[in-house]
Amino acid sequence: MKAMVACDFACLRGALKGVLFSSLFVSVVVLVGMGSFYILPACLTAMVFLTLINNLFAYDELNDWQGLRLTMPITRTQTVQGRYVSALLLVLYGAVAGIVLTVVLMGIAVVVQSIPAGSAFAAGLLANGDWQGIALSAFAGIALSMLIAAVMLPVMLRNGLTKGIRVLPVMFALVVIMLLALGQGVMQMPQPVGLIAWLQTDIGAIAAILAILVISVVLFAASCFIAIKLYARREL
Amino acid sequence: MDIIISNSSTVPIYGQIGSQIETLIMTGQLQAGDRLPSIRALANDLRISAITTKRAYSELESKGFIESVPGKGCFVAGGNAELLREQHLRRIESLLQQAADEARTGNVSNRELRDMVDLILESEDDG
Amino acid sequence: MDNLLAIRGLCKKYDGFALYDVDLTVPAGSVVGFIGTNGAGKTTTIKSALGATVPDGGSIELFGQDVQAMSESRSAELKQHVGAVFDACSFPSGMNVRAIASMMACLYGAWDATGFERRCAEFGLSSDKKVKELSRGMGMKLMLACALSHNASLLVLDEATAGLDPMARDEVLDTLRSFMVGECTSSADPGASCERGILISSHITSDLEKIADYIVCIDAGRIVFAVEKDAITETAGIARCRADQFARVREDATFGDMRFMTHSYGTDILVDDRFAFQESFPDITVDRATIDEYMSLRLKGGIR
Repeated sequence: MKAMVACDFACLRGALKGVLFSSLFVSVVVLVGMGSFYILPACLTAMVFLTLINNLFAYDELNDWQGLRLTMPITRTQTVQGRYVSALLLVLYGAVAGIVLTVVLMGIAVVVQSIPAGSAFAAGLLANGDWQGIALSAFAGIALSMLIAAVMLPVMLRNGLTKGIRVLPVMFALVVIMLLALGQGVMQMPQPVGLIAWLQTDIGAIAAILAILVISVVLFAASCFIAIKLYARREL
Repeated sequence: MDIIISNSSTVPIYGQIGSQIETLIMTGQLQAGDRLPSIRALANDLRISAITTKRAYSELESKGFIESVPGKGCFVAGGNAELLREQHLRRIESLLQQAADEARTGNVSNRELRDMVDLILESEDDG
Repeated sequence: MDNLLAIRGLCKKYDGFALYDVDLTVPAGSVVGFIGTNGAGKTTTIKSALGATVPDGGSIELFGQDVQAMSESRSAELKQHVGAVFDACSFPSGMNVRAIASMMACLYGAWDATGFERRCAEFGLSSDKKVKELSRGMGMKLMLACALSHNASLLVLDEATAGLDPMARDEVLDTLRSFMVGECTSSADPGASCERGILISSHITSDLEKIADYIVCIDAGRIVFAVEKDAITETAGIARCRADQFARVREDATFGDMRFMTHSYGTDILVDDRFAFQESFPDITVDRATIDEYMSLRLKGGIR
């Protein structure tokens, strides 16, 4: 499994830096469009993760690397586990990249603020940029990416990139619909006023973040078990 | 050890190898106890199948020219070369005796018999 | 150990293609050449042997052990002794030679780093080269260097020499020959040593004529023949007949059923024993058979 993760990252060496530059470009667009720094870390985490994980699945299919891999002394279970570990590491890399890029852009905004022309715009941006919000956004990004991974990895491992990419939008649509229905259901229930008030406190907020992270990790791990079963019968 | 294989000969390759090694043993170029190349190594050098070399060695072993020691390889059989030559000579003698008897019953003269032998030996040399 | 690989009765169904009752054996110490037309089932058979596909029926024994009856981790252990080489360099295109070497060192207990470096130097592969920068021939040599550097007992080559020029192919054959001479530790009994073996599937039958001990032919998912290579290149022959000669041969019952093909210039007959045939028909030209002609007549010839 260690070899699998090492190999995944050896493949991505060039891409790890390249994706930062493309993300930087997209971040500027998002920033200007949304007018707030809060959304940036979450967005960047998800974007960096998705780009890099797609690269890995592309390498699997190219020249039948996955076929050759099966002739090596690594079990299918270890292959799946390795890919999940790589995915987790990529999510964390995305979060760190997201925070760093956000800080860089905030620094640029501070500079822009001192220029008369951009001053008002930059000030507006920086108003929506306290560190708690940034941290919360990063965690949200991690949780979101792990949820995406939990749906995406089994599909990709079972079908490969070319077929999986067709199935994926359908799966995501299903998940989004389910979440919306759940949300609707939650809205219809009597609002627990005490709970909401508590959530808005610092402790409550942190507890909520931790709860979301724990749920994401649990779903991620469950997804790994499912993926192992699916990959075991895959024809390559 | 020089072994030359001819693709155009009518003798199968394993036979060619066998008789050449036999000659090497009989003429003393291979001494008793000398180690022969492994089946695979000989096949590699001659660019032929290992089954052929295996067959050649099996025949040599059944004729008593070589011995195979499991795990060590094939060796020229000790001291038997002389005995085998004796065996060969005796066999040739008895076959020639048979031919002579046939000639007598078939009214073939000695000269004709000798001519026949010469003819056969000549064609052997050509083939 | 008798057989490094023993496939018996392998069945596998796909849409529009099926493997049916395929038997394939690689005895210890032998090189088995695997031939067949494109789409005949060579790669499918090889993939089943290596565990990339799950067969519908039949048994697969690797080093004498039933692969389907064992746990995943046990069969992965057996793969320590197997080296595979495919026709395109299958390593991820972004990795360089050094990264591949370290990955191999993680995977294989018996990884021989110095041996690998030596082979790379012989083949002209530098450590910094990325896989995508390698030509087809060099990519294949990289796979070969990897397959040879972990003390494998069984080498499986699937159309590996397809993209190489004749001189490069001869070098590869030499490398394969020295692989065969070496000995390795048996996977079943670490104390004993066993002979190595190679399964090589190829269209380039001249290579097989130089190195194979056995030839197995598959067509449309079924094994057509599995013979010693010498039976084809040494013993068998192609009789080139005129019409009247062909008529005579047809009448002669001693040689049993023979495959033949009629061309505009005459009829070619496949004979199993060219010496015996030449004795019976001294006026008919009998050539040695090549694997190509033998396969062609067996697959497409009419039966007398």
